[in-house]
Amino acid sequence: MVRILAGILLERKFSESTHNNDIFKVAAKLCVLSLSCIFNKGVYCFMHRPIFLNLWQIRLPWPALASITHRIAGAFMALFIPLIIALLFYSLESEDSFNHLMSTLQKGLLLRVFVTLYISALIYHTYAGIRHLLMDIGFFGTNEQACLSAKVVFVLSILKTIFFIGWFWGVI
Amino acid sequence: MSALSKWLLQRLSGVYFIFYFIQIFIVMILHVHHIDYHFWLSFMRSTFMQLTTSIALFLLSIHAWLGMRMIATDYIKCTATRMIFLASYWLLLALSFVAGIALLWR
Repeated sequence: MVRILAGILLERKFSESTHNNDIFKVAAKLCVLSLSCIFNKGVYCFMHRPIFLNLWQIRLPWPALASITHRIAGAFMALFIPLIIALLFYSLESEDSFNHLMSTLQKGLLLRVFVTLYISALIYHTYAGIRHLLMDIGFFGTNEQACLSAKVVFVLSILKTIFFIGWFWGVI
Repeated sequence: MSALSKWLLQRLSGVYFIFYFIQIFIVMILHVHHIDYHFWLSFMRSTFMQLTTSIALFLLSIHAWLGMRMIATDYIKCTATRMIFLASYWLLLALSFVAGIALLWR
């Protein structure tokens, strides 16, 4: 009996945590649950199994979001290193190729968007990397500090990216 | 190479990149109104910039390799796929490192 009650409580907690506030849905779930309590002996195990694990509806905590976006930005930049070396080559080869590269940056949208994305990723990766370094030294140990520092990293990098885009799309 | 030295190398190269970017950022801010080919060439071919950029390219290869290896071991489960991916990425990195050094020191 205690197990069944614990199972019902857990189920309520689960449905609350997924923002499922529809009272009829909860009632239907409880009915199904009590039926399964009667006919099934393994209710407790059944309760602990993740029934509905939709990755798009689980909200990642801020530190996890900072970590995974740091990874994504790093992988993006690492995969396009040869292209950046090629751009450096074109800019240093001769005056003609430098001017050609500049006019392509002005007119070609693809290259411009690529450079914007690359430098935005660089800005974000740098800020998140500084946060990771500080965490390695020993700062931001508690959960609240980790969440706050992740938010600060997001805000700072978004602000700097906005400044960069304003400069890059305005001047060049 | 032990796991600790890999870990340390990735952090130290990250710290180097921070200072390298600050240096480039300051120079670019100071000269933002007259950047043309000759300024860019003399800037990139100055001995200081050649040395620091060579170190940065070397550390970038290590940083990118360690990071990509970590990502691949986390997300690519099939061993053959991971090996092929990592080998081709290693080749790509080595080629771009050689090309970068060659175009810096010409």
